[in-house]
Amino acid sequence: MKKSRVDLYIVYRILKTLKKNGPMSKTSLALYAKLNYQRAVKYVEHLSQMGLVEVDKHVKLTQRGLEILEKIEEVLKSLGF
Amino acid sequence: MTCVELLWAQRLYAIYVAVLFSVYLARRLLGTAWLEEVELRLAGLWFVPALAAVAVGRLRMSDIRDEREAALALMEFVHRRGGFCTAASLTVKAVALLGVLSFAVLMLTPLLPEFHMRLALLLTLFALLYSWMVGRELDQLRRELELLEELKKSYEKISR
Repeated sequence: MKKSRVDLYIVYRILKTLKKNGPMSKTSLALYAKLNYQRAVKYVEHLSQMGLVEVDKHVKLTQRGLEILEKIEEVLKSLGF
Repeated sequence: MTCVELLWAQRLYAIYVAVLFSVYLARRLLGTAWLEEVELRLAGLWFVPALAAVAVGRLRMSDIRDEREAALALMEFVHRRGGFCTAASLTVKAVALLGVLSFAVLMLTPLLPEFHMRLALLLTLFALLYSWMVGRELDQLRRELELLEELKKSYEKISR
């Protein structure tokens, strides 16, 4: 997937869903994150390449993914959200 | 929302103008009657890119679920396109002002039958009102620029 096609808010939604609900299948992730399955799979592949999630049977948030999510939330908080 | 709509309006109007002038040039070169018909129909559809831009903007924004996601989308937008978003509302107002003035000056045709006089009046009024509008909105622009900088820095902090 091209870097320019990755939307930050979708990355945030996926990481937040994984943090809240724990490891889950790609289908469940697509369902919880309210994403089209194909789109969710592409994002998972991209996040896996970046080391933010691990994919085996389930999709799991990595330590780096958790750190990035915390960073995003900190930035949003500093902006007043 | 205005930023996304304006971006799409820019893209769609660029395509529209390119198509319109291609048809115009083809008609001038070939002199075919049906091309004149196409050209007239195309010219009559000048508002379609604006409507399409609004529809595309709304469609893209419908994907966003809450204000936190909206903030992230805006952050990414300003990071990719620099100051584009800052003057979005001003650009929209300037286009609206030009539209209203063009219509008003057109209505004055019985009083000012010479085209060059109407054009001079239109340009003068536009220059006067636009500079007045920019002056009035400077404070808003300054605040938007500050927000833009803050959003850019925030995005860089995340993507580092």
